[in-house]
Amino acid sequence: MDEGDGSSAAVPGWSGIAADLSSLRQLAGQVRAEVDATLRPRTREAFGPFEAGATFGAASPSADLHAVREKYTDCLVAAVDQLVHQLDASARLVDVVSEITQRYGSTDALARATLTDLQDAFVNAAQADRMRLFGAGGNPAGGL
Amino acid sequence: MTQPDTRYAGGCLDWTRYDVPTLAGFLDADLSSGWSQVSAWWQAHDLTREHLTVMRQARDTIVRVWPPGTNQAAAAYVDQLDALIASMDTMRTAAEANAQALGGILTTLTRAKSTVDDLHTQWRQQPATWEADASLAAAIVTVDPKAIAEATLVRDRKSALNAKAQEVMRTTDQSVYEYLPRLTVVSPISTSGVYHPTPVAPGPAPANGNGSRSGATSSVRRPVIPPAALPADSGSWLAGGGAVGPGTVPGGGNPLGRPAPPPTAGPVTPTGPGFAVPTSAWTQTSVGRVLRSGAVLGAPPETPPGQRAVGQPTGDEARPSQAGMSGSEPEAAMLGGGAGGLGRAADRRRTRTLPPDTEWPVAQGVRPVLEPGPEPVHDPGPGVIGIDR
Repeated sequence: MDEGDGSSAAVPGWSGIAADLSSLRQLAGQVRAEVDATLRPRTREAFGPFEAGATFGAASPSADLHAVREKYTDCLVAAVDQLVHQLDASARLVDVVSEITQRYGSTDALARATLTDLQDAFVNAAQADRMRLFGAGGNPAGGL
Repeated sequence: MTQPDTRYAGGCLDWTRYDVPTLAGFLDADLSSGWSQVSAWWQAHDLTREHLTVMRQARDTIVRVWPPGTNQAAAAYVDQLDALIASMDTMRTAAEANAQALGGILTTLTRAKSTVDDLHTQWRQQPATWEADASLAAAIVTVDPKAIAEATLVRDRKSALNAKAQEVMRTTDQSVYEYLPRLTVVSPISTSGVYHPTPVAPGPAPANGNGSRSGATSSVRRPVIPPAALPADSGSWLAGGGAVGPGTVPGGGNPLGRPAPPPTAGPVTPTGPGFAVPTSAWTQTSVGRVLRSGAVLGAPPETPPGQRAVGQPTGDEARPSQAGMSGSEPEAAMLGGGAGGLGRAADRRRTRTLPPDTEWPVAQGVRPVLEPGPEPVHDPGPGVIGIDR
């Protein structure tokens, strides 16, 4: 795949890992570290300029320009939602894998995991997220 | 990413109403925050692309250790992971498109500012308008042909500068609007399945102010994106024209060939007992926001939409030739409004046709036309001969 689709770009500190249960745990740790150390701060950094909204052409009475500014504002709002989602979803999915691998000691046991187990793991991951935020003094509604 | 997008319908503005200093003022804005956003879009693109790589590699590992065919839990988990990867891919594409579109918009505005600033410099080198007019009047009184010619020349130079600046504004409008379909609003995120089994603990309501999807706890603060504010002169859109601000060309006509843009839930202006007509010329339909049927861009100020009887044509509808177009072009009549730039702008807007389900203005709260009113009650009171016997 080419670079444009994001499949081959090198990520600092990231390396592929072998496939067994312990490597799955290792994977969870690595992805979680990547989310916390890279994705979250860079997302936060990107949000800074977005906060100004559509600043261009604000003094112009042009209706065309206003229409473009309206759509651009929608782009910003939707992008913020999406970036927050991908950050939270990544962390949550990694936490779930982590919990599943802890709960089941082997790949054979993993085969017995049920949907209820998975759902429980998501609930626990969400609770763990909240605890982390409260513990860090963050606002549970708006984040850190 | 589709065009035309009726949710973001623009409209022609009659730039001939404004002179060079006013036009220069419209463009006199600091675009540095816009350029910062271009960088931020690229940053969003890069971080998403890199995280996408991580998540794809993680998926490969997970699928090898816990194949989706193993059980329902594995399949459900991989479904969630795939949904995340797909949405990230969409985000990456959108961020790239928006970075390029915003960069193009800012470049267009920067060029326009530079050109109009040059014209403004030339404008300032000319005598003031009142001075030129006074010279011309004096020359006419004294019947001095040379002075008349000089004064006329000054006036013509300023008119020419105005015309050039107005043309720049028209072409800038068109160029900027062409970036509209390139702006990409990422699709809402699907949160079905086992991924969102929360909520867990009660907490204060999210305060992002955007109507964003923020029900879940987030580990990063969401910026509050301010809505696109209406420009200072937009009162003339809302009123259907008429407001003339300082620094405008004297004798200018209807400033905007369009009414107010957005209103989602527009207020109504009562025009009589039980009679209300939406003040906005725009209406929301199944395909988005469209121009309300019967609304006319550039309607004269003495007949704002809210005060017209239903079905009554506006001045421009009744006199299409005065709106600068033939009667066989009703769409152009609705969208064109005024003079200047009508040709190209109208051509461009021919692609923005009104959908068949456009709402017609209907009086609200009045009795149906085809039904009789309530039976009148005649009560002469007691003591009338022939009654109550």
